[in-house]
Amino acid sequence: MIFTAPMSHLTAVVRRNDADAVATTLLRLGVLHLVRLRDVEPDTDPRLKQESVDEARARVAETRRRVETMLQLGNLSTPAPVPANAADVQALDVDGVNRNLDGLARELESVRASQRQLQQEIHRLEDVRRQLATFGDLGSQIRRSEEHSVLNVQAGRLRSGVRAGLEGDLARYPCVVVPVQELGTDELVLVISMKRNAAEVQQALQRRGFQEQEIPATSEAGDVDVLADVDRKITHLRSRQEQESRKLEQTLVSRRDELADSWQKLRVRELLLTVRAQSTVTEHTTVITGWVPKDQRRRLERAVRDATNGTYYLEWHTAEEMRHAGASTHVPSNLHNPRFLRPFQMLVTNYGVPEYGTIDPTPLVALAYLVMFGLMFGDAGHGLVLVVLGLVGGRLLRKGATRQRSEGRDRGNQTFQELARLVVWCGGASIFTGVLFGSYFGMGWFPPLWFDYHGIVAGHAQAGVFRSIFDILTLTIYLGVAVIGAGLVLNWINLVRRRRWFRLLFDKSGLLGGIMYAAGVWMAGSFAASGFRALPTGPFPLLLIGVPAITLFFRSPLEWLLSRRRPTGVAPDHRLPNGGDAGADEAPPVQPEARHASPLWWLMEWVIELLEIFSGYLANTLSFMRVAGLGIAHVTLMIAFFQIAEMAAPDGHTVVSVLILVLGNALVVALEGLSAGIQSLRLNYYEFFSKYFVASGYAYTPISLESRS
Amino acid sequence: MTSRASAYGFINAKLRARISKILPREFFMRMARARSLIEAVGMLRETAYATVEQVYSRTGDLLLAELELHRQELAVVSDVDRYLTGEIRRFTAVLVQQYEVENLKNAIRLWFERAVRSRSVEEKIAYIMRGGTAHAIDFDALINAPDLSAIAQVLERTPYAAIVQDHEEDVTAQSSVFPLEMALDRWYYRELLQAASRLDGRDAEIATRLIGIQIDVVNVNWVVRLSEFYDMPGDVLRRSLLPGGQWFDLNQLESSFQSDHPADTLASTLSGRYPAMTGHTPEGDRLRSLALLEGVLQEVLHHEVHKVLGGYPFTIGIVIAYVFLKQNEIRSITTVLNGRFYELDPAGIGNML
Repeated sequence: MIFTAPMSHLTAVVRRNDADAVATTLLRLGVLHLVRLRDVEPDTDPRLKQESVDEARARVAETRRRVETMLQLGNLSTPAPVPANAADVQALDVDGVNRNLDGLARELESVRASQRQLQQEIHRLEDVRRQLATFGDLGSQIRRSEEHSVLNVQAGRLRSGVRAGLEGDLARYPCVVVPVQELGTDELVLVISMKRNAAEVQQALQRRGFQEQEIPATSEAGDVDVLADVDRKITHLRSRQEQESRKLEQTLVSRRDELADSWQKLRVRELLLTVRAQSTVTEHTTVITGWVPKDQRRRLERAVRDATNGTYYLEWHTAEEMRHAGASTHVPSNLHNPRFLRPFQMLVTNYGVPEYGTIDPTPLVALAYLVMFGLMFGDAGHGLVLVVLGLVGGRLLRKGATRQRSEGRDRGNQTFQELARLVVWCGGASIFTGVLFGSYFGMGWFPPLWFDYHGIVAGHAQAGVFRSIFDILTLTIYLGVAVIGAGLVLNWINLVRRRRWFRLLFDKSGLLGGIMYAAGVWMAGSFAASGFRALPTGPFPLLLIGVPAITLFFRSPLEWLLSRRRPTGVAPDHRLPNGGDAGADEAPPVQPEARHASPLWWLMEWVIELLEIFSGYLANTLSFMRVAGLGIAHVTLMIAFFQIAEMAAPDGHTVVSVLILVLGNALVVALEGLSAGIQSLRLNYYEFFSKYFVASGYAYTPISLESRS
Repeated sequence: MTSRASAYGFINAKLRARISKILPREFFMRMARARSLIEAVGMLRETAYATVEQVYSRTGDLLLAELELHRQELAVVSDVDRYLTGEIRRFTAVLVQQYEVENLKNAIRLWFERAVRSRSVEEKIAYIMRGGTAHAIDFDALINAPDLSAIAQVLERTPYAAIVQDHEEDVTAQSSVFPLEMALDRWYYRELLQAASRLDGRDAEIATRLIGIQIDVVNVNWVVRLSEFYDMPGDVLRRSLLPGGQWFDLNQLESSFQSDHPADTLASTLSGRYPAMTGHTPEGDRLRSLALLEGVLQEVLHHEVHKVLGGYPFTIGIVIAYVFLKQNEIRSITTVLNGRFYELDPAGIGNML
């Protein structure tokens, strides 16, 4: 938990016949982070070949995505991959699956074609409807239709039973035929079409024996509601479209099992091909290589033994052994924190992945983040609001994720769920500090257990160790010193573990830098204790600051000397303990001529380095005063809202004053909560991480049935 | 006067976040490889274009899905407008007008098909975008109009009425709406350049440069079309093309139009500035080479847009770049969907992106 989990390098040699069974086992276990043998040892025996499976894998992945699309179209969830039998997976006919999918796609396309046809009818009716709508109630203004430049309205007699045929003839045009009145064996109809189609419509009417007559007065025509009629037709067509849509869904639902089965086999096949793509083969054997957490070795060995009936060869090496063997590899970092620390792990990985073997700062970040947040947002009531918001938000997000999965849409809101958990944690920290400060929605319902933050800011705190804002500022500076000091110690631990002796001594955050920082803190403390009148005297200031500062001067010449001893390549302490080379933040490969041999240059580097150390540490420490700043702002805002409420209701609470307090509290929770969260993160990233965090690692991502890529 | 940071700070952050979500080329290639149209459209489900997929699922009508895409494109530009003020806002308001102009051109084409060529347009009328732009235009009345004078009446309260009246004779004489379309585009780009010139120095420079390249693209496109269909005298061509191009002035375009190898003449202008893109100067017949040059210019525009994105953040460049990238994204979706509809080869679709 404090360091990244120790990893072991696995080289597994199995018979080629057993390779898929072993790979299936590995997928089920989900503990092997695959690496190619050639990436570890470039000079491997040429008889070891890399299998060329990229094309096959791409084809399987494409087919799997096709199935996923079909499942989504049917609002069906993607099944969980199950460890299918290797033989079943091998027997899967990918071309056959594609042929089935082609057939299914054709079936679905025919449904869409029907929908499209219905849509064309809707378009035509909507065309007429738009024009009718400009008339308002057609029934009362029917005679004015000639005045309209677009519509053609005709009335006439048709033999009963002919109307349907006429409608069929006119189906190609935007046109409606509305029955108005029964006239014995005939019926009176209104034909509304577009003037642009007048000739074609006229021909169709003549063919059906339409006898035009005067457009009847509304009273004669009865209640002619053409708009409603058109709307009814459009609604009917839309419902038919929906039916077609449901038909499509039903088609997919009826083939759910087949699709799910294909998806599972395709996914497992794809993963098996991924394992094969990373493996190396000889004529009869397959060599699988990768990294496994040390505590999973036995489990993996047992599983491989079972999958191969005991015919296997496994070789395990620690990262250290790999380095000594001259292997070139970068060990993945496995952050193995308990579930409850995941929100803080998210904050860490958002910054970067710690290098293998170095400190995993997650638990430290949890502590530092919550302390800072609590000091900035110390109110038990507001903390409770955050806890409730976090819990409700998390629950809603989980529900949303479940619903999306059931609808075949997995948008992956895991990050937001972690964020909701983080809000709960922050709320907890605020409750804790709120109780210490005796603050409950800005009110002092209970006496403070530590000091009265509100009283100090309002200027009426009399007793206790903390009596003024300066005391609070001093407290946060102490916090800063503690955080920076912890960062320095962690950096030394990291450097010792990485055997960077040179940097341990000369780094800005190394031993010399640390001694100067400690001396600076001591001197500043003494200066403050003397009432800002005198700096400490005697030999100690000179010893503690002068000697390290002068020693630092030798950094550049020593580097130059070391680089001369090593013509090209990487400086000795820039070699990672895991065998890989340092990341970009570390020293690059050194060319002797690239190092300046000029003493003047060394002097300049030394001066700049000293300036950076002094100004950097001072700025870093004072930066923590923002913790007090935010905390004071929190209290001040609450005081302001209480005063506004009091001004609104000087004689006691009214609805308005209560509303002001509620809104004020809400505003403070939203604004200050966000500010405190961001500032805590900023202090962790820039003041704490910058001292020790080596973010040049890469994440341990074991291949498993749940793998996403 | 507001500072650059306050004028562009918010919109810059917002648009950069949105730009990061623009679909990558690999996505379009995956869409292009889909074995059926229904699967290609289905891939939009998990994107910002889910409504396009919904329209298609409800109606089975690809053109309606495309119309939805255009609506979204218009919404994208109109939405940017909300966050700006002053001359910057007036500039984006003109940017929005290009959709009205495009829509108007489409409607006039339908009118021409129906009224002049006596062809049926019943299947196309529904796909004209109605509403959402600066002027309330009755597109139904326009398409159903008997002649251009009636169209001018429909457009009475818009700046387009005068343009239509001015080109009535050209349309009748040439039996084509192309002169009118060019005039509408000229009006739009003139408005845009004027709006750009009203921006402050740095913004004006960036906007004029990027619009200038767009004008080059349009002009080369017109030269292609005019070469193919019209035997146009040089002075008429000069009057028809858009002034304000970044790389090609009207003289160059005129001389290239009259030369046997027009693309060579134009490409040589670009080669000094963009040697990588013009390395393989388009060869082949006159038209093909010009069409290829149009592609090169699109690439140049892409390059310039990315350059703007990598430069000083608080300028109008971020707005133009965002609009360009979104338009490009939507155009890519349309291209792929049409490619799938006509069952084109995925590689061929990829070349068109």
